[in-house]
Amino acid sequence: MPNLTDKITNPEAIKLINDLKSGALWQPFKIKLIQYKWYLISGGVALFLLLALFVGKAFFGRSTAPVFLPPDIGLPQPTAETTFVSAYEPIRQNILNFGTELPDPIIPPFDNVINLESDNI
Amino acid sequence: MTSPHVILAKSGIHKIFPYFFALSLFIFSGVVAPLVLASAKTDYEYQYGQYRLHYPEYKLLKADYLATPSLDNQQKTLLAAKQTIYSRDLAKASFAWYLMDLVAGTQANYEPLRPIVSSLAASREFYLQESQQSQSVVTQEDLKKFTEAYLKAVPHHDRMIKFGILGHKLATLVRLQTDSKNALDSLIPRLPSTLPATLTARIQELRDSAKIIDAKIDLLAKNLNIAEDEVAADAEIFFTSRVEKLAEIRTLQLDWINRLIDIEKNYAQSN
Repeated sequence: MPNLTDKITNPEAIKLINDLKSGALWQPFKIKLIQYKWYLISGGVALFLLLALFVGKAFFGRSTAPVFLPPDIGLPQPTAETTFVSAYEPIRQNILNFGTELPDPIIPPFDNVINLESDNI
Repeated sequence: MTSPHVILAKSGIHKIFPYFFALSLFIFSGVVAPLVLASAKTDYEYQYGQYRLHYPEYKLLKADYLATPSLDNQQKTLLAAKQTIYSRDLAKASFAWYLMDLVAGTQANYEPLRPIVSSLAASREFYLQESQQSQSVVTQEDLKKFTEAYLKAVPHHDRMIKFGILGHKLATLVRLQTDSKNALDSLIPRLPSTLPATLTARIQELRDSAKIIDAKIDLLAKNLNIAEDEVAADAEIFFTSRVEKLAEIRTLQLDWINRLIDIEKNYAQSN
Protein backbone atom coordinates (compact mmCIF):
# COMPACT_ATOMS: atom_id res chain seq x y z
CA MET A 1 0.00 0.00 0.00
CA PRO A 2 1.58 3.32 -0.99
CA ASN A 3 2.47 5.77 1.77
CA LEU A 4 0.65 9.11 1.47
CA THR A 5 3.71 11.05 2.62
CA ASP A 6 5.71 9.70 -0.24
CA LYS A 7 3.66 11.71 -2.66
CA ILE A 8 2.90 14.73 -0.47
CA THR A 9 5.62 17.25 -0.62
CA ASN A 10 3.87 20.19 0.96
CA PRO A 11 5.60 20.72 4.28
CA GLU A 12 2.44 22.11 5.91
CA ALA A 13 0.48 19.04 4.91
CA ILE A 14 3.24 16.77 6.04
CA LYS A 15 3.24 18.59 9.40
CA LEU A 16 -0.53 18.21 9.67
CA ILE A 17 -0.30 14.49 8.91
CA ASN A 18 2.45 14.05 11.45
CA ASP A 19 0.38 15.97 14.04
CA LEU A 20 -2.58 13.75 13.33
CA LYS A 21 -0.44 10.64 13.72
CA SER A 22 1.18 11.75 16.94
CA GLY A 23 -2.10 13.16 18.37
CA ALA A 24 -0.59 16.60 18.86
CA LEU A 25 -3.45 18.11 16.89
CA TRP A 26 -5.97 17.05 19.57
CA GLN A 27 -3.85 18.26 22.43
CA PRO A 28 -5.52 21.75 22.75
CA PHE A 29 -8.95 20.18 22.73
CA LYS A 30 -7.95 17.71 25.42
CA ILE A 31 -6.62 20.59 27.54
CA LYS A 32 -9.93 22.47 27.09
CA LEU A 33 -11.89 19.29 27.85
CA ILE A 34 -10.03 18.77 31.10
CA GLN A 35 -10.35 22.47 31.93
CA TYR A 36 -14.14 22.52 31.44
CA LYS A 37 -14.90 18.92 32.39
CA TRP A 38 -17.23 19.83 35.33
CA TYR A 39 -19.18 22.20 33.17
CA LEU A 40 -19.61 19.52 30.59
CA ILE A 41 -20.56 16.92 33.19
CA SER A 42 -23.09 19.32 34.76
CA GLY A 43 -24.52 20.17 31.33
CA GLY A 44 -24.73 16.48 30.54
CA VAL A 45 -26.52 15.73 33.79
CA ALA A 46 -28.94 18.64 33.23
CA LEU A 47 -29.61 17.44 29.68
CA PHE A 48 -30.18 13.94 30.97
CA LEU A 49 -32.64 15.20 33.57
CA LEU A 50 -34.50 17.26 30.99
CA LEU A 51 -34.71 14.28 28.69
CA ALA A 52 -35.95 12.17 31.57
CA LEU A 53 -38.60 14.77 32.29
CA PHE A 54 -39.81 14.82 28.67
CA VAL A 55 -39.86 11.06 28.46
CA GLY A 56 -41.69 10.77 31.78
CA LYS A 57 -44.24 13.35 30.72
CA ALA A 58 -44.82 11.57 27.42
CA PHE A 59 -45.47 8.31 29.28
CA PHE A 60 -47.73 10.02 31.81
CA GLY A 61 -49.79 11.62 29.04
CA ARG A 62 -50.52 8.24 27.50
CA SER A 63 -51.82 6.64 30.68
CA THR A 64 -55.33 7.77 31.94
CA ALA A 65 -55.54 9.22 35.41
CA PRO A 66 -57.30 6.94 37.86
CA VAL A 67 -60.77 8.21 38.88
CA PHE A 68 -61.77 7.65 42.45
CA LEU A 69 -65.57 7.43 42.84
CA PRO A 70 -67.66 6.80 45.91
CA PRO A 71 -69.33 3.42 46.02
CA ASP A 72 -72.61 3.21 44.05
CA ILE A 73 -75.46 3.60 46.49
CA GLY A 74 -78.14 3.75 43.77
CA LEU A 75 -80.45 6.62 42.70
CA PRO A 76 -82.88 8.15 45.17
CA GLN A 77 -86.36 6.96 44.33
CA PRO A 78 -88.96 9.80 44.19
CA THR A 79 -91.85 9.37 46.54
CA ALA A 80 -94.94 8.31 44.65
CA GLU A 81 -97.15 11.40 44.80
CA THR A 82 -100.34 11.76 42.80
CA THR A 83 -101.12 15.39 41.99
CA PHE A 84 -104.67 16.10 42.97
CA VAL A 85 -106.72 18.11 40.52
CA SER A 86 -110.05 19.17 41.88
CA ALA A 87 -113.20 19.00 39.80
CA TYR A 88 -114.03 22.42 41.22
CA GLU A 89 -110.78 24.10 40.19
CA PRO A 90 -112.49 26.11 37.38
CA ILE A 91 -114.78 27.74 39.98
CA ARG A 92 -111.76 28.56 42.11
CA GLN A 93 -110.03 30.08 39.11
CA ASN A 94 -113.11 32.16 38.27
CA ILE A 95 -113.12 33.52 41.82
CA LEU A 96 -109.41 34.31 41.58
CA ASN A 97 -109.96 36.05 38.23
CA PHE A 98 -112.77 38.19 39.59
CA GLY A 99 -111.49 41.77 39.60
CA THR A 100 -112.59 43.99 42.46
CA GLU A 101 -111.31 47.24 40.98
CA LEU A 102 -113.94 49.74 39.93
CA PRO A 103 -115.00 50.92 37.44
CA ASP A 104 -114.48 47.81 35.39
CA PRO A 105 -114.81 48.21 32.43
CA ILE A 106 -113.51 51.75 32.58
CA ILE A 107 -116.02 54.39 31.53
CA PRO A 108 -114.59 56.20 28.52
CA PRO A 109 -114.41 60.00 28.73
CA PHE A 110 -117.05 61.71 26.62
CA ASP A 111 -117.59 65.40 26.03
CA ASN A 112 -121.28 66.12 26.57
CA VAL A 113 -120.93 69.82 25.73
CA ILE A 114 -120.58 69.93 21.99
CA ASN A 115 -121.50 73.28 20.48
CA LEU A 116 -120.00 76.19 18.59
CA GLU A 117 -120.02 78.57 21.53
CA SER A 118 -116.84 79.83 23.11
CA ASP A 119 -115.73 77.80 26.17
CA ASN A 120 -114.85 81.03 28.02
CA ILE A 121 -118.43 82.25 28.14
CA MET B 1 -103.23 9.75 -26.57
CA THR B 2 -106.14 11.29 -24.63
CA SER B 3 -105.40 14.69 -23.13
CA PRO B 4 -106.10 15.35 -19.40
CA HIS B 5 -108.85 17.85 -20.34
CA VAL B 6 -110.70 15.19 -22.23
CA ILE B 7 -110.34 12.73 -19.35
CA LEU B 8 -111.77 15.28 -16.93
CA ALA B 9 -114.60 16.11 -19.30
CA LYS B 10 -115.45 12.44 -19.72
CA SER B 11 -115.42 11.83 -15.99
CA GLY B 12 -118.14 14.49 -15.61
CA ILE B 13 -116.18 16.45 -13.02
CA HIS B 14 -117.21 19.72 -14.66
CA LYS B 15 -120.81 18.94 -13.68
CA ILE B 16 -120.12 18.55 -9.97
CA PHE B 17 -117.61 21.38 -9.76
CA PRO B 18 -120.20 24.17 -9.10
CA TYR B 19 -121.70 22.11 -6.27
CA PHE B 20 -118.26 21.39 -4.89
CA PHE B 21 -117.40 25.10 -5.05
CA ALA B 22 -120.66 26.07 -3.30
CA LEU B 23 -120.06 23.47 -0.58
CA SER B 24 -116.51 24.73 -0.01
CA LEU B 25 -117.78 28.31 0.23
CA PHE B 26 -120.42 27.25 2.73
CA ILE B 27 -117.91 25.43 4.93
CA PHE B 28 -115.44 28.31 4.70
CA SER B 29 -118.06 30.89 5.67
CA GLY B 30 -119.20 28.64 8.51
CA VAL B 31 -115.69 28.56 9.90
CA VAL B 32 -114.78 32.20 9.32
CA ALA B 33 -118.09 33.94 10.07
CA PRO B 34 -118.04 33.46 13.87
CA LEU B 35 -114.57 34.96 13.94
CA VAL B 36 -115.63 38.19 12.27
CA LEU B 37 -119.06 38.40 13.87
CA ALA B 38 -119.29 41.60 15.84
CA SER B 39 -119.65 41.09 19.55
CA ALA B 40 -120.95 43.74 21.94
CA LYS B 41 -117.40 44.52 22.96
CA THR B 42 -116.00 44.86 19.45
CA ASP B 43 -118.98 47.03 18.48
CA TYR B 44 -118.30 49.33 21.42
CA GLU B 45 -114.59 49.46 20.59
CA TYR B 46 -115.40 50.39 17.00
CA GLN B 47 -117.90 53.08 17.95
CA TYR B 48 -115.59 54.56 20.57
CA GLY B 49 -112.82 54.54 17.97
CA GLN B 50 -115.09 56.57 15.68
CA TYR B 51 -115.72 59.09 18.45
CA ARG B 52 -112.00 59.40 19.13
CA LEU B 53 -111.52 60.03 15.43
CA HIS B 54 -114.15 62.77 15.13
CA TYR B 55 -113.74 64.56 18.45
CA PRO B 56 -110.22 66.03 17.87
CA GLU B 57 -111.31 67.14 14.40
CA TYR B 58 -114.31 68.95 15.89
CA LYS B 59 -112.13 70.60 18.56
CA LEU B 60 -109.68 71.78 15.94
CA LEU B 61 -112.38 73.17 13.65
CA LYS B 62 -114.15 74.84 16.56
CA ALA B 63 -110.93 76.61 17.62
CA ASP B 64 -110.45 77.68 14.02
CA TYR B 65 -114.04 78.92 13.80
CA LEU B 66 -113.79 80.88 17.07
CA ALA B 67 -110.58 82.47 15.82
CA THR B 68 -112.03 83.20 12.38
CA PRO B 69 -115.84 83.11 12.55
CA SER B 70 -116.58 82.88 8.85
CA LEU B 71 -119.65 81.17 7.40
CA ASP B 72 -117.49 78.53 5.79
CA ASN B 73 -115.77 77.73 9.08
CA GLN B 74 -119.12 77.63 10.84
CA GLN B 75 -120.51 75.07 8.40
CA LYS B 76 -117.41 72.92 8.64
CA THR B 77 -117.50 73.00 12.45
CA LEU B 78 -121.21 72.31 12.54
CA LEU B 79 -120.74 69.25 10.37
CA ALA B 80 -117.87 68.02 12.54
CA ALA B 81 -119.96 68.64 15.69
CA LYS B 82 -122.83 66.59 14.27
CA GLN B 83 -120.50 63.74 13.41
CA THR B 84 -118.97 63.88 16.89
CA ILE B 85 -122.35 63.84 18.62
CA TYR B 86 -123.48 60.98 16.41
CA SER B 87 -120.39 58.88 17.17
CA ARG B 88 -120.45 59.83 20.86
CA ASP B 89 -124.02 58.67 21.41
CA LEU B 90 -123.50 55.53 19.36
CA ALA B 91 -120.43 54.78 21.48
CA LYS B 92 -122.44 55.32 24.65
CA ALA B 93 -125.25 53.11 23.34
CA SER B 94 -122.70 50.43 22.48
CA PHE B 95 -121.16 50.70 25.93
CA ALA B 96 -124.59 50.21 27.53
CA TRP B 97 -125.14 47.20 25.28
CA TYR B 98 -121.72 45.84 26.20
CA LEU B 99 -122.61 46.07 29.90
CA MET B 100 -125.97 44.38 29.28
CA ASP B 101 -124.12 41.64 27.41
CA LEU B 102 -121.69 41.19 30.32
CA VAL B 103 -124.58 40.88 32.78
CA ALA B 104 -126.46 38.47 30.51
CA GLY B 105 -123.25 36.45 30.02
CA THR B 106 -123.16 35.56 33.71
CA GLN B 107 -126.62 33.91 33.41
CA ALA B 108 -127.31 35.02 36.96
CA ASN B 109 -131.04 35.07 37.41
CA TYR B 110 -130.97 37.60 40.21
CA GLU B 111 -134.05 39.69 40.84
CA PRO B 112 -132.35 42.87 42.16
CA LEU B 113 -130.46 43.14 38.88
CA ARG B 114 -133.56 43.51 36.74
CA PRO B 115 -134.10 47.26 37.33
CA ILE B 116 -130.46 47.89 36.45
CA VAL B 117 -130.67 45.91 33.22
CA SER B 118 -133.96 47.62 32.31
CA SER B 119 -132.43 51.04 32.98
CA LEU B 120 -129.43 50.17 30.85
CA ALA B 121 -131.74 49.16 28.01
CA ALA B 122 -133.67 52.43 28.36
CA SER B 123 -130.44 54.44 28.40
CA ARG B 124 -129.23 52.63 25.31
CA GLU B 125 -132.47 53.60 23.56
CA PHE B 126 -132.00 57.21 24.69
CA TYR B 127 -128.47 57.38 23.28
CA LEU B 128 -129.59 55.83 20.00
CA GLN B 129 -132.43 58.37 19.71
CA GLU B 130 -130.09 61.23 20.50
CA SER B 131 -127.64 60.08 17.84
CA GLN B 132 -130.48 60.16 15.30
CA GLN B 133 -131.86 63.49 16.49
CA SER B 134 -128.45 65.12 16.29
CA GLN B 135 -128.60 64.73 12.53
CA SER B 136 -131.56 67.14 12.32
CA VAL B 137 -129.35 69.98 13.57
CA VAL B 138 -128.96 72.58 10.82
CA THR B 139 -127.88 75.82 12.46
CA GLN B 140 -125.60 76.85 15.29
CA GLU B 141 -128.70 77.75 17.29
CA ASP B 142 -130.14 74.24 16.72
CA LEU B 143 -126.91 72.76 18.03
CA LYS B 144 -126.98 74.99 21.08
CA LYS B 145 -130.57 73.96 21.90
CA PHE B 146 -129.79 70.31 21.24
CA THR B 147 -126.83 70.33 23.62
CA GLU B 148 -128.78 72.23 26.30
CA ALA B 149 -131.55 69.64 26.18
CA TYR B 150 -128.99 66.84 26.12
CA LEU B 151 -127.22 68.16 29.20
CA LYS B 152 -130.52 68.14 31.10
CA ALA B 153 -131.41 64.58 30.17
CA VAL B 154 -128.06 62.81 29.95
CA PRO B 155 -126.90 62.78 33.62
CA HIS B 156 -129.56 60.18 34.46
CA HIS B 157 -128.43 57.90 31.66
CA ASP B 158 -124.73 58.38 32.40
CA ARG B 159 -125.46 57.34 35.98
CA MET B 160 -127.18 54.20 34.71
CA ILE B 161 -123.89 53.23 33.07
CA LYS B 162 -122.26 53.37 36.52
CA PHE B 163 -125.06 51.27 37.98
CA GLY B 164 -124.60 48.86 35.08
CA ILE B 165 -120.92 48.42 35.93
CA LEU B 166 -121.80 47.52 39.51
CA GLY B 167 -124.63 45.34 38.23
CA HIS B 168 -122.15 43.34 36.22
CA LYS B 169 -119.96 42.83 39.30
CA LEU B 170 -122.96 41.72 41.32
CA ALA B 171 -124.08 39.34 38.60
CA THR B 172 -120.61 37.78 38.51
CA LEU B 173 -120.63 37.28 42.28
CA VAL B 174 -124.08 35.69 42.09
CA ARG B 175 -122.91 33.38 39.31
CA LEU B 176 -119.88 32.31 41.36
CA GLN B 177 -122.12 31.73 44.35
CA THR B 178 -124.51 29.58 42.31
CA ASP B 179 -121.61 27.57 40.88
CA SER B 180 -120.18 27.05 44.37
CA LYS B 181 -123.49 25.78 45.71
CA ASN B 182 -123.89 23.45 42.75
CA ALA B 183 -120.38 22.19 43.47
CA LEU B 184 -121.35 21.30 47.03
CA ASP B 185 -124.50 19.54 45.80
CA SER B 186 -122.44 17.51 43.34
CA LEU B 187 -119.86 16.62 46.01
CA ILE B 188 -122.32 15.15 48.53
CA PRO B 189 -123.08 11.99 46.49
CA ARG B 190 -119.34 11.38 46.11
CA LEU B 191 -118.76 11.25 49.87
CA PRO B 192 -118.91 8.00 51.92
CA SER B 193 -122.44 6.84 52.80
CA THR B 194 -121.72 7.09 56.51
CA LEU B 195 -120.20 10.48 57.15
CA PRO B 196 -117.92 11.03 60.12
CA ALA B 197 -119.18 13.61 62.60
CA THR B 198 -116.34 16.00 61.76
CA LEU B 199 -117.17 15.88 58.08
CA THR B 200 -120.87 16.49 58.73
CA ALA B 201 -119.90 19.52 60.79
CA ARG B 202 -117.65 20.81 58.02
CA ILE B 203 -120.42 20.47 55.43
CA GLN B 204 -122.79 22.30 57.73
CA GLU B 205 -120.18 25.05 58.13
CA LEU B 206 -120.03 25.38 54.37
CA ARG B 207 -123.79 25.73 54.15
CA ASP B 208 -123.78 28.38 56.87
CA SER B 209 -120.92 30.27 55.22
CA ALA B 210 -122.78 30.23 51.91
CA LYS B 211 -125.76 31.88 53.60
CA ILE B 212 -123.50 34.58 55.05
CA ILE B 213 -122.03 35.29 51.60
CA ASP B 214 -125.55 35.38 50.11
CA ALA B 215 -126.55 37.92 52.73
CA LYS B 216 -123.55 40.10 51.92
CA ILE B 217 -124.38 40.03 48.20
CA ASP B 218 -128.01 40.86 48.95
CA LEU B 219 -126.94 43.78 51.11
CA LEU B 220 -124.67 45.08 48.36
CA ALA B 221 -127.54 44.81 45.88
CA LYS B 222 -129.96 46.46 48.28
CA ASN B 223 -127.62 49.44 48.62
CA LEU B 224 -127.61 49.77 44.88
CA ASN B 225 -131.03 51.33 44.63
CA ILE B 226 -131.52 53.24 41.39
CA ALA B 227 -134.74 54.91 42.47
CA GLU B 228 -133.44 56.26 45.76
CA ASP B 229 -129.71 56.66 45.27
CA GLU B 230 -129.40 57.75 41.66
CA VAL B 231 -127.60 61.01 42.50
CA ALA B 232 -125.13 59.06 44.66
CA ALA B 233 -123.60 57.80 41.42
CA ASP B 234 -122.11 61.27 40.84
CA ALA B 235 -119.95 61.00 43.94
CA GLU B 236 -116.41 59.69 43.80
CA ILE B 237 -117.20 57.37 46.70
CA PHE B 238 -119.84 55.55 44.62
CA PHE B 239 -117.22 53.11 43.33
CA THR B 240 -114.53 53.33 45.98
CA SER B 241 -116.92 52.49 48.84
CA ARG B 242 -117.92 49.27 47.08
CA VAL B 243 -114.45 48.03 46.19
CA GLU B 244 -113.82 46.85 49.75
CA LYS B 245 -117.16 45.03 49.87
CA LEU B 246 -116.46 43.26 46.58
CA ALA B 247 -113.02 42.24 47.84
CA GLU B 248 -114.49 40.96 51.10
CA ILE B 249 -117.09 38.81 49.31
CA ARG B 250 -114.44 37.51 46.91
CA THR B 251 -112.21 36.51 49.85
CA LEU B 252 -115.09 34.69 51.51
CA GLN B 253 -115.94 32.88 48.29
CA LEU B 254 -112.33 31.85 47.78
CA ASP B 255 -112.09 30.54 51.33
CA TRP B 256 -115.36 28.67 50.83
CA ILE B 257 -114.26 26.92 47.65
CA ASN B 258 -110.88 26.06 49.19
CA ARG B 259 -112.63 24.34 52.06
CA LEU B 260 -114.87 22.47 49.61
CA ILE B 261 -111.85 21.31 47.59
CA ASP B 262 -110.17 20.15 50.80
CA ILE B 263 -113.18 17.97 51.63
CA GLU B 264 -113.17 16.63 48.08
CA LYS B 265 -109.47 15.83 48.32
CA ASN B 266 -109.71 13.99 51.61
CA TYR B 267 -113.10 12.29 51.48
CA ALA B 268 -114.56 12.18 47.97
CA GLN B 269 -114.55 8.87 46.17
CA SER B 270 -113.53 8.89 42.52
CA ASN B 271 -116.34 8.11 40.14
